[in-house]
Amino acid sequence: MAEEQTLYRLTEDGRRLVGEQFLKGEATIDEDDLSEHVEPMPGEPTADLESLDTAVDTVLSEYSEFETAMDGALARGVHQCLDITRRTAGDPGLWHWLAVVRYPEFVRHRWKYRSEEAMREKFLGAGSDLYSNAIHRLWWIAELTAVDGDYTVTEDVFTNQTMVNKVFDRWFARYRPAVVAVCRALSDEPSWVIDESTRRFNHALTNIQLEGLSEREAEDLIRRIITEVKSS
Amino acid sequence: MDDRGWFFFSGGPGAPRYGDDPTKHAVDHDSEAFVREVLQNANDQALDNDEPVEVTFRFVTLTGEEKRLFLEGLEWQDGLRERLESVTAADRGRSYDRLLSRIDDSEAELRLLIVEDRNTTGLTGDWDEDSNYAALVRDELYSSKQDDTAGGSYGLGKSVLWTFSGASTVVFNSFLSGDGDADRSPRLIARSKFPTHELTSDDVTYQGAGWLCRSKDTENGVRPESFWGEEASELAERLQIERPAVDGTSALVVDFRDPTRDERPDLDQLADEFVEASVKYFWPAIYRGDLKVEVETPDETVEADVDSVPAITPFVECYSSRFTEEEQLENAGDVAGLDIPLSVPPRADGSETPDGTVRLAARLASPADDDTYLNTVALFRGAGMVVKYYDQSRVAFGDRNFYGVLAAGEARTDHPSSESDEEIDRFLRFAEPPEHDEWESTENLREQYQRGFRTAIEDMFGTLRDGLRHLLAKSNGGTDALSDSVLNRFPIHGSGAPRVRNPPDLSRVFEIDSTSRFDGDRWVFSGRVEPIVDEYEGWSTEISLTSIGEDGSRYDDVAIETLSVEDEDVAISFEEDTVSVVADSTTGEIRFEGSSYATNENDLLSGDVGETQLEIRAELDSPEGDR
Repeated sequence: MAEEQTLYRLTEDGRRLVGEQFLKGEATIDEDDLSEHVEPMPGEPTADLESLDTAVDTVLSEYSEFETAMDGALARGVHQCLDITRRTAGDPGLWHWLAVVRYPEFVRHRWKYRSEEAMREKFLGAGSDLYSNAIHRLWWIAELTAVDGDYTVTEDVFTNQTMVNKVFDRWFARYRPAVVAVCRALSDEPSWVIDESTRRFNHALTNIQLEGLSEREAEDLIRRIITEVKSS
Repeated sequence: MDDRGWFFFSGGPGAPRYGDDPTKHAVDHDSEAFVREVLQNANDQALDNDEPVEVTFRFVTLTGEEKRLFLEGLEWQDGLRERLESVTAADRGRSYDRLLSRIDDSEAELRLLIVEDRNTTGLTGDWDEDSNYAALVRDELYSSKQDDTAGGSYGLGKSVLWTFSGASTVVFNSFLSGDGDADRSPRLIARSKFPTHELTSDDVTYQGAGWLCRSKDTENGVRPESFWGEEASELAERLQIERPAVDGTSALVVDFRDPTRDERPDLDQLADEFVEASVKYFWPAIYRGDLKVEVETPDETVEADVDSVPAITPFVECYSSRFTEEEQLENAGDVAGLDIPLSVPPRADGSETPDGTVRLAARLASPADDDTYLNTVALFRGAGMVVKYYDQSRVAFGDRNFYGVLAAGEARTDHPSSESDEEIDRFLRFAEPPEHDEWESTENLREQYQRGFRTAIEDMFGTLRDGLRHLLAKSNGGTDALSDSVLNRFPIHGSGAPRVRNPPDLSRVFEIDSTSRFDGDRWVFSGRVEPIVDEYEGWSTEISLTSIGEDGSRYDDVAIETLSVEDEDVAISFEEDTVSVVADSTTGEIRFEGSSYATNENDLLSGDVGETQLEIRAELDSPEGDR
């Protein structure tokens, strides 16, 4: 097994180094400036970054620009190489470091520059918004959909970007049993069913306590809703 | 007649008959409620001298000779015992069996609780006037409290003293403040609250209320009169209720017991519960130096310190930093805050009231915090008592858990209160029900203020919830639509278009009041819209129902089936899922009632029916153009 390497974080001040030119891929950030704003993660967690480098390189060479399928190809690698706690993953600085310092080519390869604001989110999003930072979203979606090391649901989710959008932009996506149930039930459905069913599921949750649901109960609930959505 | 002893009014044919103590059923009873009520009463009687109110809870256990002397001082054998036996025999909802056998058992201990408050007004006034003394020893359900900021305005509080007495008997010893009878202090009297009872010895029916006193003949008949001065001091010593000669009152609960428990918990446990309850509900007053609480047992004395209850510490930290300029939370332990507007309607007599703000602050939780009251907001005003811990766990998400405070009225700033703080304090006091555990629409509010009081409270809570979401939202980069729309509701950021209702700010031109509920199979709602500006050529309002998701996102509109308006001169039109009402310059107000189509789905899990908001938009055609 490869040697584990220390994880770093980009400090809040360091975010100021990320300007429009960098976001567009027209400029790099000065190494010296950057090193002043990079610090080890609290508690110094480590990860297998060499393997992650390889996984990222493979994706960069095998997929053409902006191909959404690279998400599914990389999510498992990101999650397995970054074997960290959720607490560690909750620190936005880690994801800023990974996106800005470690893998900016991946971020630009995956996401076309549409606006400064949108691209800034891909580099400097994270925190409570799952669907933001380009690497953070891969890790979290894998974290919430992997079941005992089995990434089947994760891969299914990433084959369908509607699912990624509709499920992980909702608050119930923070509760793994609900996520797994919803993703399983919806993985083969067309976009309009996914859209309507997740909205309706979200509405039904105003009557019950989400965290009181088991995976089984959540699945029963979403399947009934899917049936109704399709018959109406 | 000038007779010392227990005095009970005898009931003539028309006299009211009491079963159990009528106030006993009004509030839930456990030791936490007891502490809360008792401290609230002491806190309300604070003297106006910047000195803190001090309260000591002192547990005393008596056995042997001490117990005998105490009972003798209480004239146990001369009246009380006989009456307790009579009540028990008559089986009128109250049994004193256990107490009687414990008194007779020379080995059994008698437990007393003395609540001693200092730097308070004391039992001032006379029997025949509206006074502290009369409110405590004469009346049921009647309140006479210091001023507008007092914590209680119903008078239920004192009744807990009797409820927690196994003998339904409480002794008072007081040093009076002010002039008047102050130099005759101390003043002592005991009062019992029994059911109506008969005595076999004289075949007379007695009312339940009795006093250990001097009964005196007056123009209005016999009146119980307190003991004063030397005589009171001597009796106080025998009854274990001596107190330092400073203004305030000591109340002694004879045979202290918690009516909600079968077991008698040991004193250490009770003392811990008292300290915890004191801090839980009064940390703002303690923190601000307005209140000091101690709990004494024969073994130790513990001060109720705000740092002594880990579950409360995060709230204290949040309050102490509430005026931080931060509006967003980054790391565990961070505090951020916002002003929440509250527009108080005019008083009932028509006098205008200033609009003001209350201060919301939240502290991001860390894993090291005690999470007993996680994701709640402590609501309080000048009295320094937490009205309740308002559960807002729906606003928390992911790792964004919090502790919040809403500091209102005279608790808002550490500086002297503004006119609006004082008005808000008064307004919210009247918004408290008898239990003082909520801010809501009450009869008191209806009597004190003009229309709009309910909307004012609902708007405050609505803005509080949105404000919390804003404080908890992620703090960097990206777009945050919810947070932006929330900001528009805070006047400090300019008057953006409101999502729901009119923002309570200076540009307000309508008063809108509404209620809605789910009635079996459909939503029903009613409300009122009134332009509150003088000049307009006409106006219109749009009413719609929108169901929302667990995270507050909008789902679908709910179609409205019926809408009726009292005024016949308005035009009503149904457009898609919105109903519009158009009025001309002659219509000063519309009142409406309506309902949605019935849902054919009663299943709460179908996603068909769920949280729904009533949205009312109003628009004015004014001479200067649309507003």
